Amino acid sequence: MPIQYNMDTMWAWNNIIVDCETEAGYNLTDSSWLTCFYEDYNLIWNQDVEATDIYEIGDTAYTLAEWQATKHSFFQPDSSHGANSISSNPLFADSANYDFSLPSNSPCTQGKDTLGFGYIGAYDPPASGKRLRMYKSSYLDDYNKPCFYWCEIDWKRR
Amino acid sequence: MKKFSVKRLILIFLLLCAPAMATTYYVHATLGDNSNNGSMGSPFATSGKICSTVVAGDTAYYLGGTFQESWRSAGDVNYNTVLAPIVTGTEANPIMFYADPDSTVILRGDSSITGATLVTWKNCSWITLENFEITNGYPAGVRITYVDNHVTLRNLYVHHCVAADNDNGGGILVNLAGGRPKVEYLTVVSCSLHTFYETTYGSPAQWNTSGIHVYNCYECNIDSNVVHNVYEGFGIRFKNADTLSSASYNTVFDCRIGMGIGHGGYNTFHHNTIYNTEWHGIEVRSYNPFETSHHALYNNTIYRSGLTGIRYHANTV
Repeated sequence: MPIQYNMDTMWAWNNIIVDCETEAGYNLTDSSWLTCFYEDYNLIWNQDVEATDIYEIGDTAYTLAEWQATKHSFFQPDSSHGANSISSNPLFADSANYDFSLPSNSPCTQGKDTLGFGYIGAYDPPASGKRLRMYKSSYLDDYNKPCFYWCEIDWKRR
Repeated sequence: MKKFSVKRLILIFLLLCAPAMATTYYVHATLGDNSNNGSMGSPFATSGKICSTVVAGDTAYYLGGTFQESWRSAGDVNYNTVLAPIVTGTEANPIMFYADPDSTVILRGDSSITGATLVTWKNCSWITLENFEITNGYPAGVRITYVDNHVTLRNLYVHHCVAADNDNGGGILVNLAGGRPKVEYLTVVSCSLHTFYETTYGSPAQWNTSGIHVYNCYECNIDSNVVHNVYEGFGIRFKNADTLSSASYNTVFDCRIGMGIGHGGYNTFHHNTIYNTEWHGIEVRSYNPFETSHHALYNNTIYRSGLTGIRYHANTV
């Protein structure tokens, strides 16, 4: 029997992913090895190719709505995910010349996430952005606690 | 007999207790001479001379020129190295290798010589390398091996290095072997790196080359660098970089995979801009026989990945 080496407690938050050409914005090549996946406040958008194929688990593709409606035990918290993610043009200033600045009317700037990292993408200037700091907490070895608590947020500026 | 005043005795005591004076030594590839005393007006000529002269607290100041030399003996771990400290700095007395920002200082390797790496450090901590252009390395421009803590690489321009097929190569390689102590508190900041490849395009491993490859580190920060044109490899790669290491505010483009995390734990990639990758923007992967956990990817911008924007993958054996 094949052995897979597990992943747990993965955060994907506030990212902008645009125009992935042949596969998805997010791809989990399988889900059997994954525990605790936090995904929200991301913008994923394809302007040239299959606009509906923005999330994948294995070979199964999902639209944003399908993704948000899909429940998996490894999605945290409460088996849900992507509730605040969006799929629309981020309105980069000049992507043809790789200027990914976001104007004030970009959908990325319309709402901050609830954890305080700021807006989607890099709209917030560095000085005001909060930093997520992963570290080994005392919860790590306590498997009776929900995995949400296995990592904590350190608001200290680095 | 003349008596010493108390004040004078205290002054003499303080002088006796004071640490050795830090010295700045100078080197110029074309205007220097190794029989000089290494002062600004009388600089050394070779990198090997200045490397073997500086001690903790000193600064090695490269005034100008191209340094292409192999100053350590064959069989040494630093064989064919242009710049290699042989002593360690300390927190109170760090060592600085500094290239004049108003001149062009190039450390140039010989990519025809197996084992040549331009800058190699081993067991040297509290060291900063700043402002150098580093090129033609084989298999890498900068290689930091084990027990090199509190190393800072700032404003380096590293480009055009080639590795043997399936060998680890690239721009900056850190601690590329298992079973070694972690490299701790490494900072790579404001560096520009490009054009790294294996000898034969399409060799089997296909992703051993990296712009910056950090292996087995603790509290390492890769910040505000530009990395591009890494053929068949990663722009920035963490492998078993555990824990608390981060890559932030980097710009990565024209690589096979923009940024990657392979096993290890507790790392963050944030506020990076990645575009035009052949495969994935960011890949998080567990490798045989290691699991991977507690990684955070946030506030990254990924544009035009050939395959996937962010990919999570577990190896199967």
